[in-house]
Amino acid sequence: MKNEEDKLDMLLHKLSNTDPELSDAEMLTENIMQKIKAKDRHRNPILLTWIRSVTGTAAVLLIGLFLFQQNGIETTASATKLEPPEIRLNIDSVCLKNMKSPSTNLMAVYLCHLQQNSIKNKQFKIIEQQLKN
Amino acid sequence: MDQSTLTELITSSKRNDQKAFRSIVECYQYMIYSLAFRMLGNEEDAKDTVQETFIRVWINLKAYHPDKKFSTWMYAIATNLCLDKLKSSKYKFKDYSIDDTILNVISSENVEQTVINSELGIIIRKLTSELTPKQKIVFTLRYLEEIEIDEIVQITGMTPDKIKSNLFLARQTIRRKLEIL
Repeated sequence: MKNEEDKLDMLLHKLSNTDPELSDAEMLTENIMQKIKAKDRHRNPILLTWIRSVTGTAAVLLIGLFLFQQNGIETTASATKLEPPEIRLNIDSVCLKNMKSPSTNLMAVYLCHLQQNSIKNKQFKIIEQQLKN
Repeated sequence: MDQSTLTELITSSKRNDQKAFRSIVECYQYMIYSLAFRMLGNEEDAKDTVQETFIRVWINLKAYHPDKKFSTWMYAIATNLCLDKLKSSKYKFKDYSIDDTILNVISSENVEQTVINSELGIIIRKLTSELTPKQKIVFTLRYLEEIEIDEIVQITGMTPDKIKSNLFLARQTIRRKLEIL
């Protein structure tokens, strides 16, 4: 047992003192440097990488802003939903009831309103005269 | 190479100075070759490992922290590469019996006269053929490269207890082989 331990220690001592020989050390250095140059050629320039990341971030932000704005417009539109024309314009509902789509023909509604007003004015004058008499 | 020169070379290399890195390669390539040769027992694979190690060093140089010893950091990279190779099918268990080559080494007065590179590779492979990749790694680092346990901890990331148990098992296996002689 002791003999084997001694043998092993002796062998290890001798092996650790025996350095492996490196042939063509210069060639090995040259190969390493060539591979490094090739790696560097394939490596993206720092500026290009930087520009890529900045433009990528900007694109994402713009898309986000666009979506946010779209959502904002829809919210505003629903919040400020147009009131019925008869309330908003205070126009006689008789005119509106006769129109199929009042929002598309406001001029006609307005003319109708004026006619209604003139009729009412005439009626008002008649009543006023009757009261004076 | 003194520490200040090495620090200067590392700083320049971090700024993509290839001339500075060439100096580092010239200074350390033999150290890495010796380690890889002793771990793998094969000249060609050892040279491949040296190349791969320095490419990794160049790529990861910015991640190197000066608090760590540069040689230890390089040893760690080379050891990981060797470990990957030892786990590959090429290095799977082959039955190398102990023969006269090893007997000659033990009995000779001057080893360097007796052992040439190819024989040294054969001897290492025969001695360590029954060891697991991890046992081979710690055995080579401790007994052939004569690195202290504390540094092996940094190189391999293993605990001191794990290293010691691997060394014990490696010695036991090799001693059993030597009993045949």
